[in-house]
Amino acid sequence: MYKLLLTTIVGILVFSFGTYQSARHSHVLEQREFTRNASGIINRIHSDLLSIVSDMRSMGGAHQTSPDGFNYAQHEHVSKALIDRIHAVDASVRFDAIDHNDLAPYATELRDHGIFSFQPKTLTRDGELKPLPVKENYLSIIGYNPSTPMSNRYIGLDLNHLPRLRNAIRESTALYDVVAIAAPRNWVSDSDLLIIFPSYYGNQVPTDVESRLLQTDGGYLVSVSIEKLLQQRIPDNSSVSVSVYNNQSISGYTELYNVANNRSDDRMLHSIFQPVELNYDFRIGNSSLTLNLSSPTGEQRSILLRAVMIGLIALFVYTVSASAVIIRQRSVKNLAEKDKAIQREKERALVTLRSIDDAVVTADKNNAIDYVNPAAQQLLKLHHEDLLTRSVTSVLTSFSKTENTDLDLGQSESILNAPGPVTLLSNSGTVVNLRVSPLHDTEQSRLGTVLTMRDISKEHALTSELAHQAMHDALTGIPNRRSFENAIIKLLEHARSTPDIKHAVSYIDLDQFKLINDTAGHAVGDELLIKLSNDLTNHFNDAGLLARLGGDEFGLILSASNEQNLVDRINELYEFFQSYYFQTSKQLFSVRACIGMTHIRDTHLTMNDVLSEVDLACYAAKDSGRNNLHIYDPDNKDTQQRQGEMHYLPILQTALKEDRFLIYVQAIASTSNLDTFTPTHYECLLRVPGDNGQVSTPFKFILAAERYEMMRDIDRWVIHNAFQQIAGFRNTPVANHHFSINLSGQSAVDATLPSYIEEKLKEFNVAPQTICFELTETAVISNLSQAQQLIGYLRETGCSIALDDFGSGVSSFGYLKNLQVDYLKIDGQFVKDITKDPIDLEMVRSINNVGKALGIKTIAEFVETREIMKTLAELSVDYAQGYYVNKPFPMPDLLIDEQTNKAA
Amino acid sequence: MLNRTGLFAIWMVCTITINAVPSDQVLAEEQLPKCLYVSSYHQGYVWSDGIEAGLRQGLRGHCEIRQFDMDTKRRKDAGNIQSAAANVLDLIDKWKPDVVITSDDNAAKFVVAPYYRDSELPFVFCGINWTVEEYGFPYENVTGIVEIAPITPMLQQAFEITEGRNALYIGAETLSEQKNFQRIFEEAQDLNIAIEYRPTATFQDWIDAYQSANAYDFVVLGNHSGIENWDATEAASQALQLAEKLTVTNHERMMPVATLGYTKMPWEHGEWAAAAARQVLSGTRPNEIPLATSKLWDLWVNEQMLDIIGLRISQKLLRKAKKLPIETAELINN
Repeated sequence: MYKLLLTTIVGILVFSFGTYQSARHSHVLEQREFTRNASGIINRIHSDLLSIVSDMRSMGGAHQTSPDGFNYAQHEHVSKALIDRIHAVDASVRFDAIDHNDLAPYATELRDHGIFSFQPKTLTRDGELKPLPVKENYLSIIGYNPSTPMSNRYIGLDLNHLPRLRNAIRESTALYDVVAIAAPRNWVSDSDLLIIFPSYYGNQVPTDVESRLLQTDGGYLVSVSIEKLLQQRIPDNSSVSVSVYNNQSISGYTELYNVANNRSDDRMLHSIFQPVELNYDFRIGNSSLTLNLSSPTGEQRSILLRAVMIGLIALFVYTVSASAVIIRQRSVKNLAEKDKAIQREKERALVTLRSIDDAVVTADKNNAIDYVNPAAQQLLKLHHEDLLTRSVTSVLTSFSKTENTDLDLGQSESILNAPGPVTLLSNSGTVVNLRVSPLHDTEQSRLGTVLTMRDISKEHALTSELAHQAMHDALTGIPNRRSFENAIIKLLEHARSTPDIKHAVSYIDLDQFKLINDTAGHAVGDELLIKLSNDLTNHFNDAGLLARLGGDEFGLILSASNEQNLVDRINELYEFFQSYYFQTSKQLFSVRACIGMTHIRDTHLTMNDVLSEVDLACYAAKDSGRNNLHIYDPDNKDTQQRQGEMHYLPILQTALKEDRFLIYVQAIASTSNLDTFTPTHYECLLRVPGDNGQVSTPFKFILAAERYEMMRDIDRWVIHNAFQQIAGFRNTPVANHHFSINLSGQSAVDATLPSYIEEKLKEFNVAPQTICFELTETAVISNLSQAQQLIGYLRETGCSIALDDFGSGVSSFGYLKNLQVDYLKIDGQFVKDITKDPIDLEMVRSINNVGKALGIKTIAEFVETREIMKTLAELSVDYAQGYYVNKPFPMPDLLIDEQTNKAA
Repeated sequence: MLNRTGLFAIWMVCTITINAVPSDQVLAEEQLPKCLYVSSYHQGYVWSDGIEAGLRQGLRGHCEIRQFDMDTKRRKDAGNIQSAAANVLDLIDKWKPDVVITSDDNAAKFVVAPYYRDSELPFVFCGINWTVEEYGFPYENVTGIVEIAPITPMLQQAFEITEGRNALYIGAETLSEQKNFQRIFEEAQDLNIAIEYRPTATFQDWIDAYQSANAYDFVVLGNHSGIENWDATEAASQALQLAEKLTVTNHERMMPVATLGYTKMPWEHGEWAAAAARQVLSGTRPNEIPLATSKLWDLWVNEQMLDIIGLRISQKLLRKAKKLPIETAELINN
């Protein structure tokens, strides 16, 4: 059967193939012939179109040079010759631009040419010609060839009223070139091509576009039937389309003519044997015409189609039959293979379950156990047969829970709906991890349950140990900082719900603990910490939490049922450290501490709120001397100030780290001239940029910087950056200027500062003679011997020294003898009121006199008015610095003339 | 692997290619001949601009063009004209052009005639009115195109419209205008028309003359160039108030004050001069190129003026003529 079918189909296919080869041969010959003829045909069509364009240009030229403009007889003669020569020409038309004001004399003149009732007309969408309402001007047809009763109807047709035509005429006029467009509807044939050529007033064609548009007097139009042009020459059954392109075509080419062979079998044939497609583009003046030509369908190809169709149907039938048989055979084979695979998987699962350490118990939908693996028997310490008679809940009742969970071990629903793994504890002390998984069929109906249990006793013990270590101090065994902070967080959470209970949080910082470590050794120090932890725990166990926060620092949370009790416990804490001693085999140590404390209040929202207060209180306790307890008071001014300083601390740190400080300079000018200054000495001043672009003076930051010992770093920053900018002034007008740099009290005692300065002088190649370091009187006197060493070294290197704010401190002239300074800067507090306060005047006079006696130059600060300047000059003070001379400005601006002029 | 000979061959090809391409281009640029254009007037003067446009269009790509404006229309004193001529001679001496093109009379009168008669350097002139006899052209080294205005059709049309034979010519008090009038006078005699010349030195003279024109059948307007304090806007305004008779002109820039215009085309001179210069550059001697005369002219009508004087002209003439746009006062400023 199959063989017969196959033989028949093969026969058909051979027949189809043979037919195909024969048709293909014919097709190739046809295409060659078509291609050979096509170019000749196209050339003739192109030649016709060029001939029309040429005639139109001649008509336009004759019009332009004629003394009378348009000539009816001439137009008729040329048009007739054109139509006779090219039968595809449907119409040859003259249109005139007519001003409405000239319409009446114009109509009269037209009578001489046989047009007796000239009237501008419009063409409706229905193809009806109607008189046109009055318009300012018209572009009306005044000559129509061939002249027939039908064509004469169009005399007067206003071409301005046909938008596409109006635009084409405008384009042709502007360019003085031929433009071709598709004919508008309802006039000549829709497939006609309209070719337009303009004419102008006067004898000459205007040379610019504007004049051409202004001086147009109409033009000539020829309508060519593309259909006739093609039908005369294109072979039958050819597919042909013609499109015209010009600026009036909104979407590119406008199709004029399209004849395609649309028979369905032809379309199929074209998809098998593609016909020859020839494309030609003609330029017609400023427009272009595209002609697409496809070769005709041959008879041989129709035969081919039938042969191919028969072959394909036969092939289809055979393919469907064979496919059905193969699919059935494969289906049976697949089912058998799947059964075997299922068996293999089942066996593998059972072996796996028997071999794993996890206990697996399965139950049916009634929770009756139907399978247990050996690990389950071992874990539950029950026999296989015994387990198979039980329910899941009866097995689990032998466990107790270790976690805070809603799981009810006596309720099957609770067990089966357990959200995740649960840790259980057996009677024998085994810790078990239980996971319950429901079994569902494909329709989500419950089939049973799988319980997986694992003995995690060892892991559980290890985890508990790690958790304890994470929250406790390794040395003393008491809670660590993390526990302490967690306790504060919980305390804040519950404080609102238990307002009656009062709490206080404290830091305990042991005094001189380092001394014990240094003198008795770290083992003794550790011993002390352990003993102290135990004693404090024993003493305050009922009232709070004790934690070791690190080193010799402890944290203690005290709680009491009322305020008085809390105060009592605080007092106990203070008293505890007044009489606490630590005895070693060799020594007795008195252990004292600084305690900072705050009461928990409603205003505390976060743990940090509490700890920052405790921190401040602890600082205050340390500031007050050793062995002190300080309780935070939000209304205390010292506390507020310290809080403010702490606020500036991160700003300073960020500015230092990110190089955001700025250096300003202020001139120090001679008092020899009261009105004009030519300073060559400037003091470098630190400025801190704010987030809003403003620049702040550093006064409010300085206290914080001093308290947190940042001044040393800040001074070094200034030295580095000032030297760097001074190095940049080399070869500029300010190259030899002198610059003063302030040094703080912390820098005054910095033994490594001299080597730093020396290194920077070399790095930036700065002449030491141009640098003056300013030290405040207070800083020098507070650290006299170290300051003397520093001054001595800096003078040796070539730098000069100024004693800043002189008069504000102890003002002891006696020190001056022992200090080799070059300048005395008189404190501005005395200078600013010098013209009003006789005491200030005398102070300045005496400081200046002493300076002069010791050979030291004097500089007055805060010089804000000309009167102050004048008084200082009278007192023979050498230099002045202040707003009268100039305000501080950015150091790089020294190079800008404008700033120099300000200083001047 | 390439052997040594192969590498050498590649190097030679690269060297020849790299050197040959730019050197050809440089050579092409360097070998362009030099054309010097000497204008008697200045840029911005409509007539000169028209000649220059035609000339540059015709010479583009054929030679390197340099232009010298003698500016003798605005600075007409003899000292300036002589100085400008000396500068032209200096430029010719230093730049050494292959051909010199001159436009209008003064370049011919003060440069070509006195210094270059029958010299080796070829000259092409254009824009010289009516005749070149006074300069003795043609020379061995000179050819060009003579400017002829369409005066015959203008006078015929004026006569046909007015049917009058009594006309007035209003023009600047310049030699050029006298020359123009002489031609028109001779042509008018042939047509049996009596025409009187009213030279005007100042703008006020011109206004007075325009006002007095009402005593004639029609008026021929000459060029305003050379009239002191000429105010184009005021002239147009006065003309619209004073005009009662037909006014005709050969100058396009006078159309705002005239009714009909038979105007010359400056670019025709530029185009012809460029064609002649190209011919000379290709090796033809100037004396082998006959002198030519201008042939193109255009027809204008000022419809506003026509309405004011109330004249009726034929529909054919009205349809044929170019219409003067209303806002064209600036035409006559230059």
